[in-house]
Amino acid sequence: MEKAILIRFSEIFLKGKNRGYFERFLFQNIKTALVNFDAEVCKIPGRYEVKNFREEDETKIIERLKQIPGIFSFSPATKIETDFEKISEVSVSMMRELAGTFKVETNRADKHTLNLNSMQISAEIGGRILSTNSNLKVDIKNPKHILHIDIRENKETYLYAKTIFGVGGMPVGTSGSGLLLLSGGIDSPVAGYMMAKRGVKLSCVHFHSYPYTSNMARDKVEKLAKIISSYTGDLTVYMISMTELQEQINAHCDDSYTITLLRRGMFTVAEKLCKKFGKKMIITGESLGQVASQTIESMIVVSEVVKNTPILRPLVAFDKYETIELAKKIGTFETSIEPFEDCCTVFLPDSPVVRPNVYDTRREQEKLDFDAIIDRAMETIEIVEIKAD
Amino acid sequence: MEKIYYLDNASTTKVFDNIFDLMKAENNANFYNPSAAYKNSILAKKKLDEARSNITTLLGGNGGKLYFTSSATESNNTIFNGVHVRVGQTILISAGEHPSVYNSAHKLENKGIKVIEIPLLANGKVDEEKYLDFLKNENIALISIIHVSNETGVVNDIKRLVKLAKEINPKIIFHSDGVQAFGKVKFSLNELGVDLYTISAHKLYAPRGIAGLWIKNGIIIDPLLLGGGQEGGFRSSTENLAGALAFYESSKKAFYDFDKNYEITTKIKSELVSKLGSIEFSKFMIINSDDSASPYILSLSFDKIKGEVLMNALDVDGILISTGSACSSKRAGNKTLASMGLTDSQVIGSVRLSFSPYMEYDIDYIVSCFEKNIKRLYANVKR
Repeated sequence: MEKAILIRFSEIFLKGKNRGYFERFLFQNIKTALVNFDAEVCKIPGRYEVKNFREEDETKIIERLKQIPGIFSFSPATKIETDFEKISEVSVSMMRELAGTFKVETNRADKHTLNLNSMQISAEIGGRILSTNSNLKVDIKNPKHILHIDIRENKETYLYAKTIFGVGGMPVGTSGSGLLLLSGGIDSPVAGYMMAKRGVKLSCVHFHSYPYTSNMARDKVEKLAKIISSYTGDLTVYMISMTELQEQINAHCDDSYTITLLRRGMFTVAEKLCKKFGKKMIITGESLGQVASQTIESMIVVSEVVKNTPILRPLVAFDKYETIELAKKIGTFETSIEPFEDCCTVFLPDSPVVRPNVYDTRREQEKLDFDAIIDRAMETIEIVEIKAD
Repeated sequence: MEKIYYLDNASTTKVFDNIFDLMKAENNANFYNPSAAYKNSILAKKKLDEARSNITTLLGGNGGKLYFTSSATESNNTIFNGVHVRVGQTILISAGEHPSVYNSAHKLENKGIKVIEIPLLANGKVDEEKYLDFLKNENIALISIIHVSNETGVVNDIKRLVKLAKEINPKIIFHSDGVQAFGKVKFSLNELGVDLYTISAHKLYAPRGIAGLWIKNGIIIDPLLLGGGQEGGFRSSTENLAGALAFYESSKKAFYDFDKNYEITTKIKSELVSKLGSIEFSKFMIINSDDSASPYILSLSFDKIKGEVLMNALDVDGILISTGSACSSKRAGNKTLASMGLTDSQVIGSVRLSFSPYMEYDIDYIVSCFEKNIKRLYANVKR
């Protein structure tokens, strides 16, 4: 008897001739995620199997698999020799603690070893389970529990009763690579998770304004990146200082344009980073109308500085509470709400412009030697490599 | 980064090498549990009690007993958890207490005990007039007043405050938190007249994890930690012999070097104050530590800029200081400075520098960095 985990793919089955490409990414991502466990990952037709791991690692492996985009669901299984009495014994013990309705479902790839057909096996095993557990009753149509008996050709049988859902989506790496604007707030980590779920390999840029923002704020961003990395694998954070731009805006520009100009600076830097490091898209946590800087007019004015890179905003139609729910689910919320200032709250204007227009914004920007300031901001880059656990 | 100037010694100090050496040697020779019964343990217990008695002598506290604890925070929590006070009685604390006193005192309000804070004067000392009013009008069981302020270095006249209280009601229990005082200002517990006194080792170049609570004979405080009955039943936990010996060793050095250290830190502080006083923008500078304050601590406020930002900026230059207050509005401000009458903006703009006589400070470099950064921050005050 041996423990195994059976993994089912998510949308990969939709991919026709490209399927192999997606499968290779997922296979590699699973292997990488489990590298710290002494586990073997192998391909079996239509799915993957994790095996030969230490029993005490099973819970940790399950938690890890829940974080890998591209996995639709998985089942911890018991692998035994194809022998009716053994199948019966293990089935009865697996179902002993359960209550409610159940059914047994049998699949046979090997139709010779046992001289019963699938229906007969299900019925016989179901009967034995019923006779040992009075808390269960049979419901074929809508059971609470399904015991799967999966009889394979190499005289191995897999038994499993539990299906755990994964992240879904597509394997990280299959949708190219993108640059996430990671602020330290609640939204941006969620945006990163959403795009990772669509197969994007992430890098992050964090804009700070040290000394106006603190070392703790920076540490918080690294902590968030670490959590995101459990979904994406290792990732890189580019730390960029916006201090000079903020000081210059504060000294020379209309107060109400502070945030608009700062964000134009950030997006300009982001596109430069995309070019420099080969990222195909900019990803932000913006949600339409959430704050003054996220009205459609603000988005238009800020996006104007990005010439050749798509800006993806996966949270654009999310309500704040929806984002918060997701942040809690992926484990970033508690860190996001640690109270450290980020660079958007430094020099916060009393009344930011809600509907900026391009002409006024350009006029304000022309008061600065904008390009030179951006070039100097690029020079402040610090590269932090975040290792996924 | 080249050199580091550590100006946060009131927060913690760098342990002396010889203290670690001593602890290592003691661990080799006397690692035994002082509460066991074999002869090696009895020797260990003897050494522990020697350290206790030696530190008590340095405190001038032969009218009481020193109990070892793990931290000053534990000592202060023990007092407020273990003191015998009844509903209808009042606890007086100063508005300039360390959070370990402030928070554990206020927790007693849940039990129906009244807790009053004595306001501070502009010079940082306890307002005696208000203090006397409370003494006359309240049924006071316990008073806790910090000896040397951890924020400003201001020294309260504990002897006088004890006398005033005991004249009105000799049964009042008087505690003073002496973490920033022990080894740094001159006093003797018998002379101060206090009933309880808190000290800590890691402010004196010994490691964290060892501190003390001195209790005058006859004063009853219930234990906070129950267990094997160590420290005469007052503080259960296997005794930290190496820590206690380190505590004594570092205290001994502080007393041996006392005059020299006082002179060195006085010189550092006055040179800094005088040179900072002549930089650009010095007109915005407020000195929160008066001339009679401990020479080890200097608190400054710069109106309209943020102490936290100044701290971050100086960090880049290798100058490590602490803030008087966190700049995020979500966190509590500095109640000591607020009670002295500083405005919110001044409180936010405050920083604390605390000195070590055993470290070198390039005062001109430090002042030039202050000047450079303060100038920059004033240039960028939000318009």
